[in-house]
Amino acid sequence: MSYGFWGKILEVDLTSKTWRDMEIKENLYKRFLGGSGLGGALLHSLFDYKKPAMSEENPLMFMPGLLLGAPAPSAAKTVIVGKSPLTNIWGESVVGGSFGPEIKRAGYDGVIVKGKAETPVVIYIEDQQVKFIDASYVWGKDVYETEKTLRGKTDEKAETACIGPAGERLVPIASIMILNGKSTTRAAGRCGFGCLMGYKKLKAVIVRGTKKIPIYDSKKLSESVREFNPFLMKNAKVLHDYGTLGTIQAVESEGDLPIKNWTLGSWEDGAAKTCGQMLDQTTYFAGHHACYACPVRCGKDAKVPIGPFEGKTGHAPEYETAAGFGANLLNDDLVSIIAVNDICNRYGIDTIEAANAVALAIECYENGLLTAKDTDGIKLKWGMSEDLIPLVLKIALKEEGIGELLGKGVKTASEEIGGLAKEFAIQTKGLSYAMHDPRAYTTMVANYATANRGACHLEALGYFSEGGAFPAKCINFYKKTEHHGYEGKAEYAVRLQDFMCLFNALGLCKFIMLGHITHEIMRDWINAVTGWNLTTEEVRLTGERLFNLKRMYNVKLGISRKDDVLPQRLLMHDRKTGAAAGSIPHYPKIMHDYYKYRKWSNEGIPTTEKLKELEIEV
Amino acid sequence: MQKVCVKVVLRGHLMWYPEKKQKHQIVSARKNARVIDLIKRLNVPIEQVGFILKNGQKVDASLIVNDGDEIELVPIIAGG
Repeated sequence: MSYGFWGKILEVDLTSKTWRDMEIKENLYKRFLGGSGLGGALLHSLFDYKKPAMSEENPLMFMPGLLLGAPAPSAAKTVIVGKSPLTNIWGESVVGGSFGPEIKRAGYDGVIVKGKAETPVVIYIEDQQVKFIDASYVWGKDVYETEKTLRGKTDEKAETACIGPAGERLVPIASIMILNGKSTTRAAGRCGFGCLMGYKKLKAVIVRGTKKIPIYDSKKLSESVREFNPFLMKNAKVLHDYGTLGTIQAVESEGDLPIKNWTLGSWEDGAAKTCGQMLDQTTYFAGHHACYACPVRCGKDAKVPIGPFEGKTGHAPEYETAAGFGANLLNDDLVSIIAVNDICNRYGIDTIEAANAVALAIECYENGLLTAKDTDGIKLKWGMSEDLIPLVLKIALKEEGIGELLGKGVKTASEEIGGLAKEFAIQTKGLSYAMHDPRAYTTMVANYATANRGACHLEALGYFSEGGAFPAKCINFYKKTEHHGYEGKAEYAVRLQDFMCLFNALGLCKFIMLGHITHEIMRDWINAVTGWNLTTEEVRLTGERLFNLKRMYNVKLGISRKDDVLPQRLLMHDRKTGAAAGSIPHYPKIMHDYYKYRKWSNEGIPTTEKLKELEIEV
Repeated sequence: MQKVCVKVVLRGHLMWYPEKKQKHQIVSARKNARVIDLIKRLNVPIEQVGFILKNGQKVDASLIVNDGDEIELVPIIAGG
C-alpha cells in the first residue's frame, strides 16, 4: 500500500474519446515527487518534444503536487505542464484553489489530456470514472457562466478548470481558470495553456472525488504543522489582510516595481493609490478567500466598478496585475485596474503578459510605430485608465488588428511591429517579465536569464529573499551579498531555483516561505505523508534534479546560453530615481559564476557528469 | 522625565499601521528609548520590518535613540 499518492495517472484521449489508468511506480515519485516534477519526467519520457506545441501530440497535463490531500499548509497547487503554445519551450503554470486536491480525492495523481476533440467537450471525472459531455452549449461563455452552468449539470461540489472565450479563439496568452462556485477564480495564467486547451476543443475539466488519500503518519505531520503555522501567520499578516496587492508600496520603496515599461525608478504616490490597503477602504472590496488547506487566506474579491461587467463580483487584482496595468502604464486609477483585471479573468487571459503587451504598445504608439489607425481609434498613452477597458476586451476576444496583435504576447507582437519595438519588448525566451525589476535585487538577473519557462519570477523569488521575507540561511546560503552587487549572486540564485522546484513538485504555495520553510521541514512533511525515509540531502538533490530536467527539455529544443539573456533595458539603463537608482547589474560576471556553479558547460548545457550525478536520463 | 523627539520614516506599506496613516511620523519617547519602542508605539508589526536605517546606515532595533534622530523603517519585500 502506498501513502500520499495513488500510483495512478488518468490518461484521456480526446481524439478517440477513450481513457485509461496509467500505473506509476513508486520509484518515479521518489525521484520526481509530483506536480511539475513528475509531469516533467512524463513529458520527457512519453512525448515527442519535436511535435509543435499546438498539435494533437502535445499533452496538456494537470498535475497536483505530491502533498495535495494532506493537511500541510497551502498544499493546494496544481501545475499545468506541457510544451508552451506561447514560447514553444518547457511550460508550467501553477494554480491554487481546490482543483488539485479534488483530483487526488478522485483517485488520481494527475490527468494527462492527449489528442483533440472534433467538437467542444467537457471531461467529467468522478471517482475514477470518466464521462465526456458535449460542451457546445457553454462554448462562448465566460468562465463564471461556464462553471455555474456545468456545476448544475454535474455535481454541486465539483471543482472546475476551464477556458473562456480567449482560449476558444486560440489567443496565445490565454489562461486556464479554476473555479468552484464558492470562491472566485484562480488563474493558471502563464505560458498560454488556455490556448492549447482551446485547440483541443476542451472547454473544461470537472472533477469530483470522495476518496481520502491515506497519510502514513498524520500525527507527526500535524505536530510539525502546528509548530510551523503560527510563525507563518505572524509573518504573512499583510497577505492575510490585504493580499499580494498589499505589498505594492513595499516593492516600490525598494526600486523593484516596473514603472512606465520598466524605465522609471519610483512612483510613490501611484503605489499608494493602487495598493491593497487602499482597495480595502473602498466599497469595491468584497471579501476574502483561501485556497485549500491554506491559513494565509491571501485571496481577495472585488466588485467591478465600471465597464461591461459593472456590479459583478470577481477575484480582486493581484500584485502582478495591479503593477502591470498600474505602475507599468503610469495608471494610478484603481477602478480601471479592477475592471481590466476582471475582464482578463472572465475571458481567460494572462494579466502579466497582457499588461506588458499594452506597455509595449503605448511605447510603440508614442514612437510612431503604431498609430490610431492601428488601434481602432484608441489613443494609447501613459496614464490611460478607462480606455484600457476596450483595449483589453479586444485582446481577450482576439479582435482583428490591435487585439489580435497584442494577444500574441510581447515577443511576437514586437517582431510584427518591427523597428525599435524590440527595444521596448521586455521578455526572455518569449515570456514577458513578471513585475519585479532585476536591477533592484540582482539574484533575479541570474534567475530571469535561466528560468526554464522564460522570464518567471517564481523560479527563484530572489527579491523575496534579498528583501528580507525569506532568510538565505534557510537554504544554507551564508555569504554576504549586496542588493545591487554581483558577488555570490549566482550561487544564491541557483540555491533558490533548486529549492523553488520543490514547491511545484509538492504543490506548496511559495508564500509559506514567510514561515521560513527549509529542506528539513519539507523532508519531515514528505516522510510523514509517504512513509519514506528521505534525507535532507536527497530532498535538496531532488530540487536540483528537477531544475536540470526542465533545462534538458529546453536543451533538446535548442535552448542554450545564447538564449539566457535579459532585455538591454534591464541591464544597461540607469533608472536614476528610487532605491535602485544607479544599479547596472554585472550580467557577465553573474552568468559566468552561474554556469560554473551549476556545473554546466560554457554553452549552458548540463554536463554529462552532472546529469549522471542527478540520475537524469535524457 | 526627560524626553526625546525622533522623526520616523515609514517606507512602503508600513505607513498604514499607525493611527495617523502617513509616511513621516514624529514620535516623542522617554530618554534611552530604543528603536523597538518606537516601532511598538507606531503599531508597526516588527515582522513586517526588513531592516532599520539611521542616517542611511543599518542599525539594530535595540539601538537607543537620541533627540533629533531620523529613523527609517524599510519593509520586507513579498509581492506576488
